[in-house]
Amino acid sequence: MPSADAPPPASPAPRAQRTTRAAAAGLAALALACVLGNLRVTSARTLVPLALATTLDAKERRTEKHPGLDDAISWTLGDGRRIEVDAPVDELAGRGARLEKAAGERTLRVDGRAVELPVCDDEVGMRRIVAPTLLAVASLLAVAWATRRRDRAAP
Amino acid sequence: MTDDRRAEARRILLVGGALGVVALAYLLALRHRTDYPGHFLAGYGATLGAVGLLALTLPERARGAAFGPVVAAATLLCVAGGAGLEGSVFRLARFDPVDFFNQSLGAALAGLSVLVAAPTGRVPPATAAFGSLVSVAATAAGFFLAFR
Repeated sequence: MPSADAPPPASPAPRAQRTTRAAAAGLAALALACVLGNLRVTSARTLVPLALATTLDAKERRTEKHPGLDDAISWTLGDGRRIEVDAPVDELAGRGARLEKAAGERTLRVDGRAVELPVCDDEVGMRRIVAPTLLAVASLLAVAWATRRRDRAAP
Repeated sequence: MTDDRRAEARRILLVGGALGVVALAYLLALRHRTDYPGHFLAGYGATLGAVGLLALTLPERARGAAFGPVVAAATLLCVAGGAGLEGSVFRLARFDPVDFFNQSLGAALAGLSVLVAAPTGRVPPATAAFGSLVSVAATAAGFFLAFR
């Protein structure tokens, strides 16, 4: 028999509230990670965030579902890296070219000649969907968070 | 209309609105790459169908406090299954991390939607009907956009 000093047993409602909130927060974090992943990958394909001081040893273009639209283009660099680039970036340099740029710069030097890195539609599009996606995730998370509060308050 | 039905209608509207906002943003901002909204919609639709079906068939003991973790775990399984499909059946040129992130974002939103639409773990009939329709429509639209 429980003593009079023992704390009352936790009611199931607060526990359900905590687990639902934790699950909702975890799923929202997963959604956020996917948004950040998209931004990171599409940004890297523009070359802007990369630092380069090497040669372009080889280029490879593989077709996907829509040849010419969603081709997978990769460059093998002299420093051993293999990077993916967008189609407009692929047109800037040929095999054997010397590539130089600092991370964050929008200018690439190809065999000493400065060329502006083109704007890539994938990266622009991914940036544009960030705000609506965060709005949707925040709305769902807020309601999942608040719903249990109302359930708990109910008799 | 009873308070319960009104609350259910509000939840359905919110879930539908959230999906609509993100899908519209994808279709407008990435219209040059219909496979991106396609992967998002397919991930959403397939996960909503799988997790929704699971919610409908759960035993009573898996509702209440266990429901949130069950939905989160089922969503993660769907994400893993999506990665497996992207790396095998749907792998054409290479495993594209952008495709994977898009379909996983859809899966995460679908899991959140289930938590919002069925907060106690019990799925009301109107919610089940709406969820079934959205699941089939989103999956079909996703495949159409990805492969057209």
